[in-house]
Amino acid sequence: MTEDHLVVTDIHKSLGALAVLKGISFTLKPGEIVSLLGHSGSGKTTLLRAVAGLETPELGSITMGGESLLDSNTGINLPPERRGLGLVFQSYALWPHRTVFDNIAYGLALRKTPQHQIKARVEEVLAKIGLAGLGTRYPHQISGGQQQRVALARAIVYRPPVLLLDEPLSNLDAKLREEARIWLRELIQQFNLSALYVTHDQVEAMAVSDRILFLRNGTIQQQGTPEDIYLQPTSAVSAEFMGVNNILSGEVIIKDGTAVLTGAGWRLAGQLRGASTDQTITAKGFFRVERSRLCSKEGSNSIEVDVLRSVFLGERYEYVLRLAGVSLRAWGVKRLDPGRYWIDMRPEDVWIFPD
Amino acid sequence: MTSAGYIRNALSLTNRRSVMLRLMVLAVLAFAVVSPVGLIILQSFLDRPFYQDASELSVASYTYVLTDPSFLDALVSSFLLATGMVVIAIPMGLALAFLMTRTNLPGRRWLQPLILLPLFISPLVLGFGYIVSIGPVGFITLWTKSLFGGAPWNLYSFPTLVIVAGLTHVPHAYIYLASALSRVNPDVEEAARVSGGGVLHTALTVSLPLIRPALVFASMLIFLLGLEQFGLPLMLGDPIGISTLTTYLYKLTNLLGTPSYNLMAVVATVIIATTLPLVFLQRWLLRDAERFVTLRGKGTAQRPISLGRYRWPALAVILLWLSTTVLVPLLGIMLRSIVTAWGEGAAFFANVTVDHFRQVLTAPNLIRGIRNTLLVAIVGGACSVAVYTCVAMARHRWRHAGAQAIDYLVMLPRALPGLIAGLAFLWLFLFIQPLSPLRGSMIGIWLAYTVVWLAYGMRIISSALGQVAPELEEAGRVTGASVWRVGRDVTLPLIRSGLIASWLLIFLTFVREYSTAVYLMTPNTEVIGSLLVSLWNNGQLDLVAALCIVNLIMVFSGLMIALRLGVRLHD
Repeated sequence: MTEDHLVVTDIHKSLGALAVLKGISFTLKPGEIVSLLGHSGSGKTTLLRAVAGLETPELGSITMGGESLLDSNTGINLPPERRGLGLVFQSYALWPHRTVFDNIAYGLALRKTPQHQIKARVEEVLAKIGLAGLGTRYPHQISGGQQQRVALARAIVYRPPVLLLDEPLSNLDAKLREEARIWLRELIQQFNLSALYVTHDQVEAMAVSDRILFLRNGTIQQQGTPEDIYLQPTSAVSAEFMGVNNILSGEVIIKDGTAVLTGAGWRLAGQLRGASTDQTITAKGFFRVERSRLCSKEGSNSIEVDVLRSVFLGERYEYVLRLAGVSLRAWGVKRLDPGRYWIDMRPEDVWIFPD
Repeated sequence: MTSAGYIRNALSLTNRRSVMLRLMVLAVLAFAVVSPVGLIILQSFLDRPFYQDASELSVASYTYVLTDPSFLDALVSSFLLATGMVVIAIPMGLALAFLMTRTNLPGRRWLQPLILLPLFISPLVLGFGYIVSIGPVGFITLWTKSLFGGAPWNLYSFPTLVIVAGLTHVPHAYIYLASALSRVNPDVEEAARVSGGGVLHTALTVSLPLIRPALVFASMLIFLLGLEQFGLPLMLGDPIGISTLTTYLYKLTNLLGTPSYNLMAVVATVIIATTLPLVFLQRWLLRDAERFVTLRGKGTAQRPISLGRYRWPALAVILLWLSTTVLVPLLGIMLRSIVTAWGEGAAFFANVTVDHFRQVLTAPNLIRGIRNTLLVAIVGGACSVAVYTCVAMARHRWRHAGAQAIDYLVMLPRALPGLIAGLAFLWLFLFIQPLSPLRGSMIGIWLAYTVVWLAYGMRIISSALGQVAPELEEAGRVTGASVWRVGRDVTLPLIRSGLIASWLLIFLTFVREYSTAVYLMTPNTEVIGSLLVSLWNNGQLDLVAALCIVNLIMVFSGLMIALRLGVRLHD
C-alpha cells in the first residue's frame, strides 16, 4: 500500500474508569470524505484527536499510506507534528498574535518551504477561500465566517494527505452554515484531499460526506453512505437518531413472511429488522414523519388517528396526532380540521425492531 | 518493518529532546532549592563550621540552643507574634474584603490600590516610620505631648509590636479573602435573603462558610509571615530586649561571630521545621479549596449590598486604618529625612535641610547600594522572570511525575525566611568551590532572591500560562511544530504581556527585599535593604531616613507604571 490511505484498527481509549472508545476500526480511501456522526459523549472527537496524535489510545493501531502512526503492539506513537495531518478546530484556534497570512504560512515555514513559494501558495489559498487581500489582518479583525475559512486554509495549505475537521461549522449561524457545508465539500475535493469530519449534525454529515460512521457509546453503530444510514437503519438507535420519526410500540406477529405490528385497536405491516423470530414478541415500529401520509379514507395498510391540531411552520403544516395515547406527527400543505384521519404507510417504510 | 523502525527512532529522538530539557530544568531547580536547605540541616549537626576539617557530627549545638533561656523566649515571642497577627489581620482583612467586594462602599475604585500599599513597602521602612512618628520622641508623639501634655501610647512594647505587625499584614489576608468572596455566586446569598435572612445573618451563615477554605489558608499564611517576620521585631522589639526567632538568629552573628555557624544552623533548622509543615498543609488545604471554586456563578454581575447609613462610617474606619498603617509612618519618614534635629521645643522649620540626601549621594557604598538595588530589581528581575518562565514552561502540560516534583520543589523556598535563605546561600558559596566567586557578586544576591521568591514568581507566570487555550498549542503541533517550537512560536508570544506584568511585580518585590541580602552583604553587594539594617544598627538614622525615601520613590515609580499599564496587583 503506497497510496495515502488511513487505516484505523481496534482503537481503545479510556479516561479514568470511563471507556470512551471501545474498539473502533475503519478505513479512509484517497479522496474520500467520511463523517464521524454521534451525540456528544459518543467518542467522535476523542477518535479524531487520537488520529491527530493529540490523544494516546491504550490499544489499537493507525497507519497512513502503509506507514505506522500508532501501534500499541510495537509501542510506536508518532507525535502530532510528525503525522503530517491537517486539523481544523471547532474554536478555529487561530493564533491571535499572527496575521492571517502568518497563520496560514506557519505550516509551510515549518516544512522549510522557500520564502517566495510560501508567498505564492498562501496567496493562492487565500484567493481560493475568497479572502484575497486580507492577509495582513489579524484574526480579531475579520468575521467569524472568515476566521473559519482561515482555519481551514491553515490546515490545507501544506496539502496534508488527510484533513481532520472537528465540528468546523458549529460556531457559524444557521444560514452561513448551510452555505458553508456545500462550499467546504467543494474545496476539499478541489484540493483532492481525504477528510475525516466530526459533527453532531446529521444534515451536515449527509451534505458533506461520502460515507458516515455513526458512533454511539464508543463503538460504530452503523456505517454507510448517507442514503444507507438514512434509509436503511440497521438498529432502533440509528433509526431514531436520523430524521424525524413516529414511533409505535406493540407486538409483532410474522405472517406469510411479512411482519405485522399490533397494538390496542391498530395493526401496521412493516419490515422486520434485526433478529427475526417466530414467536410473538414486543417491538418498536419506526416510520419517518415525511413518509407519513395523512388520508381521509382507510387504505390498505393504515392506522386510524385523531388530528388534535395543525401547526403552521412556514413551508408546511405539522399535524399533532394521537393514537391510543401515543403522540404522532405528520406533515402536509393545508390546515386540517380536528377529527378522524388515517395514516397510510407502505410496508417498506415501516421498520420494526424487536425490543 | 524498516520504515516502522525508522519512525520509532525519529520519535524517540524528538521526544527525548523535550523530555531531556524538562528533566534538566527539574535537576537545576532541585539543586538550587534543596542544597541550601540541606546545607543548613547538615551544619546544624556539626560541632563547628562546616569548612573546618575537624568538624564532626554532634548534637551539641542543639543542646546549647534548646537550653538557652533567651532562645526559648524568642520561640515563645515568635509564636505569640504570629498568633497575634492572625487574630488582628484576619478579621480586619475579612471585613475589608467584604466591604470592597460585596457592598456599595464609596470610593472602592481608588481605595483598591491604596489598600494594597503595605504589601509593597518593606516592613523595615514601615517600622522605621513608626519609630520616627509615634516612637517616644517621634513627631506625632511630641506634637501630642505639646498639645495635651502627654501621649497615651508606648511604641516600644510587645503588644504594640503585635498590633503594628497585625495592621501592616491586613492586605496579605485581604487579597486571598477578596478573591474568594468575589467567586461566591451572589445567587446563593440572595436565596438566603429571599428566605428571610438579614444581611448580617446571610453573611455569617452563607457567605462565611463558603469561603472557609480561603479563611483557613489566609490564616496559615499570616501565621507563616509572622514566624518569618524580621524587620519589625528588629526595629520595634530589639531595642527593648524582645527577640523573635529571626532576630535571635541575627544577634547570634553579632554576639559570637563566625564560629557560631552551627548554632545559627540550629535556629534556622528549628524555624524551617515549623514553617515547612505549614507550607505543605497549606498546599493540601488549597487542593481542597479547588472544590469550592465550582460555586462560581456563570459570570453573574455582582449586585452590591447596600450599607445604608453605615456607608460613610465604614469608609471612615478604612481610612483610619490606612492612615495609621501607611500615612503616619510615611509622613514621619518624609519629615525625618529633611530635618537635622528635633525634639521637645525644637523649632521645626529652622532645622530643615537636604544634607541627609547629600550625604547619601557622597557615600560610595550608599551610591553602590542604590545602583545595585536598581540593577537587581530591573535587570535581575527580568532574568528571574526568564528563569520562572523556563520552570513554568517545563511544567506546562507535562504529564509526568516530574511535573509534580516541580510543584513540590517550588513550594520548598516558601518555608525559608529571607534571612535564612541568604545565610544558606552564603554557606553554599563557601562550601562549593566553583560557586565561591558568587559570594562577592550581585549574581549571588540575585540567585538568592530568585529562589526566595520562586513560589510567587511561578504563581504569576503560571496564571499567565493558564490563559492560553490548549487548542492554540495543539494547532501548532498538528501543523508540524515540535513541543519546543510551539513554546517558542505560540505559547511565549501569547503570554508576552503577562511576562511584562510579571517583571513589574518581581521588580516591586526585589526592590523592597532586605532580609535575604543581610548575610550576603560585602563591600560590593550592598542593596538598600541590607544597608538599612546595618545603618540602623550603627544608629545612622539620618541616612536611614534618606535611604528609606529613595526606596519609597523606587516602589512608587514601579507602582505607578504598573497601575498605568493596568497590571493586576493580585488575583
